Amino acid sequence: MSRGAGERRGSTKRERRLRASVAGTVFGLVGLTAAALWVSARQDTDLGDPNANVTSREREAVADAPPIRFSDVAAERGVIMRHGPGERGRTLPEDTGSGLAWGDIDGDGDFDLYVVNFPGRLGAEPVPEGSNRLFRNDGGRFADVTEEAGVGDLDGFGMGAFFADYDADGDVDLYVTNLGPNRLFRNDGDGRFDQVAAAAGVDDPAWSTGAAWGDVDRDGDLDLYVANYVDYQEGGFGADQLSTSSGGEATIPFTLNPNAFDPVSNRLYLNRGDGTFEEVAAALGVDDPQGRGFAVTMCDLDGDGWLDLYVNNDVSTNRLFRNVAGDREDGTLAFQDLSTLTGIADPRGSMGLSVADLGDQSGGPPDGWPDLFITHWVAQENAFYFGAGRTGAGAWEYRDRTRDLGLGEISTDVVGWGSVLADLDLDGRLDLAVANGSTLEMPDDPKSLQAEPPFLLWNDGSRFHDVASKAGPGVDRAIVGRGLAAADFDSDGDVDLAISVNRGAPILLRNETETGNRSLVVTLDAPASRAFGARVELVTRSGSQIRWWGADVGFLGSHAAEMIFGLGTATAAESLSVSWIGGGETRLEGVPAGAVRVRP
Amino acid sequence: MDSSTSGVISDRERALRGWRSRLAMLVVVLLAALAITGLWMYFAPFSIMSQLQVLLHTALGLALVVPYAIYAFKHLKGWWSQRLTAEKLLGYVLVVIVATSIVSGLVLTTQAAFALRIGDLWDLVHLVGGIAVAVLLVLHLTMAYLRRRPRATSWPEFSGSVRRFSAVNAIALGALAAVVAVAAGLWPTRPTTMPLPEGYTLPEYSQNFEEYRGSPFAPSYARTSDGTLIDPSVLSGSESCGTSGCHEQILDEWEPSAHRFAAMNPPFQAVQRNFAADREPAETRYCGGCHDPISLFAGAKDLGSLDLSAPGMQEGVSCAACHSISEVDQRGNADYVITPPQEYLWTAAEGPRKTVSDFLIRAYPRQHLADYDRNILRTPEFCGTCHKQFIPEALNRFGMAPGQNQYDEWRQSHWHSDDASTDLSCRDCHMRLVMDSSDPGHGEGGDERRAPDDGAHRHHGTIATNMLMPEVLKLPHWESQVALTVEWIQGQTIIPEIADVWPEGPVATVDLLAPSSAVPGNEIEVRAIVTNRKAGHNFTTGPLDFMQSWVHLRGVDADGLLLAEFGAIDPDTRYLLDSDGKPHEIGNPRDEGTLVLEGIPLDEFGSKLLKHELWRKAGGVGQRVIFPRYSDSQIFRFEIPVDAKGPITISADLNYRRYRQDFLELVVPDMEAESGVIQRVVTHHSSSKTIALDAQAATVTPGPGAR
Repeated sequence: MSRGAGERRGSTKRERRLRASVAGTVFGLVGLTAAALWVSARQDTDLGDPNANVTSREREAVADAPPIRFSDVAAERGVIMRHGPGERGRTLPEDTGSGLAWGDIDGDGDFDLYVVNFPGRLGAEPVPEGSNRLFRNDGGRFADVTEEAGVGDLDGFGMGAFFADYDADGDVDLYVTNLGPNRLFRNDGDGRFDQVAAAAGVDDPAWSTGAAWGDVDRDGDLDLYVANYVDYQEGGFGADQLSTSSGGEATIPFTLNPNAFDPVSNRLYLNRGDGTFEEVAAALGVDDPQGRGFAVTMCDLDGDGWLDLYVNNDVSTNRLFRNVAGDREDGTLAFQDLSTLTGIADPRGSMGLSVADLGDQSGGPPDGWPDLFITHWVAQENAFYFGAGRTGAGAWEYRDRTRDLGLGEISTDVVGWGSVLADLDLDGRLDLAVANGSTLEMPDDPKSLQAEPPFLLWNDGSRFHDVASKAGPGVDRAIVGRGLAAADFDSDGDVDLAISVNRGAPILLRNETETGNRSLVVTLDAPASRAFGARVELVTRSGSQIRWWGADVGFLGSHAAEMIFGLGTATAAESLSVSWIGGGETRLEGVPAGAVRVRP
Repeated sequence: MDSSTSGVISDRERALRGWRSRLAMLVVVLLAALAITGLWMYFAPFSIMSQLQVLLHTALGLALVVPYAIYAFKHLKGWWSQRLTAEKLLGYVLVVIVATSIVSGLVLTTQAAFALRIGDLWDLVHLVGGIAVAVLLVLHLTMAYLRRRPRATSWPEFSGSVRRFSAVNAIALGALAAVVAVAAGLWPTRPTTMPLPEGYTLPEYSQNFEEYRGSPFAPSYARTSDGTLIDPSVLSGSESCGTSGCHEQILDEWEPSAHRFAAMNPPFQAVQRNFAADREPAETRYCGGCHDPISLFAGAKDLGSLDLSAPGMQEGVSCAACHSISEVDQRGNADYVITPPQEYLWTAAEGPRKTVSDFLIRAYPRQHLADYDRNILRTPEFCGTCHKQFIPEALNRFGMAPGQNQYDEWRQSHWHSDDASTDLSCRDCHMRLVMDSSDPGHGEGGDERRAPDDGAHRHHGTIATNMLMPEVLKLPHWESQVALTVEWIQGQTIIPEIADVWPEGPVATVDLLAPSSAVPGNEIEVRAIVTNRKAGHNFTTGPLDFMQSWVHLRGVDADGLLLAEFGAIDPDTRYLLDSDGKPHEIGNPRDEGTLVLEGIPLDEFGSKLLKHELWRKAGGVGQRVIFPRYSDSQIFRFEIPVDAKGPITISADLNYRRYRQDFLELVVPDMEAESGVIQRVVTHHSSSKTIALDAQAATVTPGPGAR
């Protein structure tokens, strides 16, 4: 080997080592720097997820909820209309309603649907498309029979609708509340209705919203309580100019704030039995002049056999008027305001109202005391007041179990309206459905209100879980919901729902939940004066279920005059008993799944 | 020829001397110790041991400077003339990187000792350099050894020198490690948590509820991460955050703030006393979660403490109490978990030891940042944990009753948006940016309106509407706090960073609608409209039972004769008057008085609770508030005398004061007299309208708007 060759080889090896050293050093330093920067970034408290340690335990969804399914069949079944003609005028009455109601107007055994509307801006010429609509149910498909029935009420600025056979002639009549004179449509039995509100003395000209039927004085005919809202005055204030007068940026005109208007007294109409009514609210101390009334129920809340009154008020205190006629020797009608003493003087913005026995105050089985579910405005959680003589010695008190039941936090983001306590999956436990829809305007479109998805709240026995997002596209969408009324419109033994949409088409949700559970559909074949408020108790091997006929009123409407009890997998109920208003009880043993009519 | 005799040191001898050099051993020991302590600091969890490593690292680094300079000079000189090899090249690199590490270390030491914070770039350079030194040193020594290893078997002196070199290094490092380990083991520690004391009571009624059962802090949801109490000295001592030369500006802002006086303010103390007397002391824990966390977590709200307070209570929501919240839940009522900070050595000491403690925090800030710069602090839910309240049945023994809830009001308002550029949350308005901040924590990444180098910090005065208490208590810098608060109420506050979203001008306005002319002898109707223009929650919000915002409306004729007045303040009693000398009563029908934004709780019997007895709240009445962007309105009616001289001027002020006067009389009757401070009325906004008098009444027209 030559020296020169060796030097070249040696030089090459040294150079390789030198190059490797340089490269290693450079790469090492760059790599180290990159690694250090990466570690530093991971340790930088500014860059982490701020919400990593923020929880919302009460909003957590349940993973094993049953497959409750609904589909919107309104258009295909013929319920076609649109609420609210023209462009939104940014007024309180336009945003408040309207409701809807189920009633069997033709006595054919299925429930027809009445949807309330308003005919355009207040004081303006009515727009024909703004009339209320009546859809007759023909075996699950609907036909618009508004014109022939004569219930369009194009002159009325519609709010709510309430079916009942007030004249005891065997067919259901219809009371419609308006901003302006209310209507009483008397069913003549052959498909037409006569508007007799003025003659009957129930054409209150105030802004009426909720109403409830019941034989409050137990004289054998049906009385009527009407909730009035506010003394609304729109004209002359220059509201549009004022909305920008102080700041230059858009603000909400005061004409959208119910608190800006004085409340209006409610009415209690006692049925004279001759087709006319006598108004006695102020005389009996149930006119609630400081309340901005919405939903109202007549229900025997204390179990003494007399119908009491509970009134939801918006931005004012709710009222419980106990009917004390039973305490009097002569049985004359009188009331006592127990709102505060019973702990149910809810001061928030109360909207819809549902009533049933969900259990005792400690989460135990039904105890026979009606429980009241109340929907509220945003940033105010809904309430679920459980009634009981909790402290013994006959004390009557309510306890709000909203948070225990998982219903509190989820409702702070929405405005809740119509509601129903119904067994959506027929498992023997009452679930909840709530129509939501904001009164807040869209930030980028003040002419539109913010839409919100409804709640379908499945009851697991101890808590409720919102399963709306899994219930199908008909439910899993945001709407400006208002009224919600339940009925088995397709007569398949489960609970279907209708939801009214402010400035939108009503939604008809057919229950398509696939379950092996059975149901018992109960109808009371009795005069309305005995049925409204009747206590219905069904006993199965799983326990008892207790409800009060007509007491679940929702918002601005009425559910169908039927009760659908889930039996779970049982083939029959062990017993069914009805305690009638005015006295008497009917008890049936071993009632098989299906349908049953109960007579006094 | 033997090199020693020739005067020229051979390569072999040079190597031998290198391994035998005491200076080399010292330098290598120091470098190795620095590398180990540095890596320990960086990768090991925070502990006493790690802090001792910081101090040792600093001391060793300082000790290295001179020996290394001498060694490096000699070593370079000795090997300079040799042929360039990889080993030699690495040596050169090592010299440069060690020098860089020494320089960056000196800079960091200087910054930690004398500045507010260490520089990120210097920290990075030192970290990378330190790790590189460790790696290169091992490589350099290994290569130096390997280069001569083939000859080592026939060169016993070399092998012996290397062994001796290694042994000395190992012994020195081992000794250092032993000293540090022993010191860390024997170091006196101050316990930050405490077990529940003997006889600590739990509120009896709340034990009926599963969610409160057994909690030492019920009926508050607030809790510690391990269920133990926290030494009050851990959560107090806010002053030390400022006096150490770091967070002085923030301390100055916080000292007169509502968070600071949350516990010490006389109304709170009086209400708490009433609460304890009416129930049992343990139930006052409900308030403590938000008003007095130091006492709550110290276990002071119990029978054994007459004033229900722990040392440090005067700090209310102190620096450490607020910044130690590590988890929150959206449901409010103080539903948070507090994780006490890990203390640095001598945190609570004074003098030189405190200086060392501050040095440690600055030189080794990782745990300080982890404990105090939690980014959960940025979330509105963090604020919501205390600014969302309800009265649980465990407290009122009746049933859940709603309380104040600024969080959900904001969350549903138009101020909250999914678009970060338009979203305004709590701190955007109430904790405006303070530019040119000297705070070491200035700048923030990960925030739409911030940058890591924006040189700003958030104002910790959390300016809102309590302008009375800083003055009553004469808290440090109260004048500034009161001035900022009054500005805030009057809508004069401008916050540049959100000016594109949050307009200038009044927070709430009052406008008038009145006829342009009226007829003497007739009644006139004037409508006042109040608008919540800028509040991110209801206007007003908070404890509505003692706050008051109202419309003061006056009608005056051309001669200055007062024709009507609604919402005046009685000069003697300082009560709010509805009209005609009639004191205002909450819940009155509105046609009997003026527009007052307020609300009053009721007890289970329907009686008004006038002294903030929220533990008995079962309902409410008379609540009147205005949602963001909404307006409220009221009509005022009065008769114009037949001899009134036109034109008439209608003026309206939207006024605010912190407390109902009768609340102060009922709860803290001597507070104003003793402090010499009479609560003031501040006007949010004013409007006026002129009405001509003639025989024909005109139609209603809009008012002219703001003054």
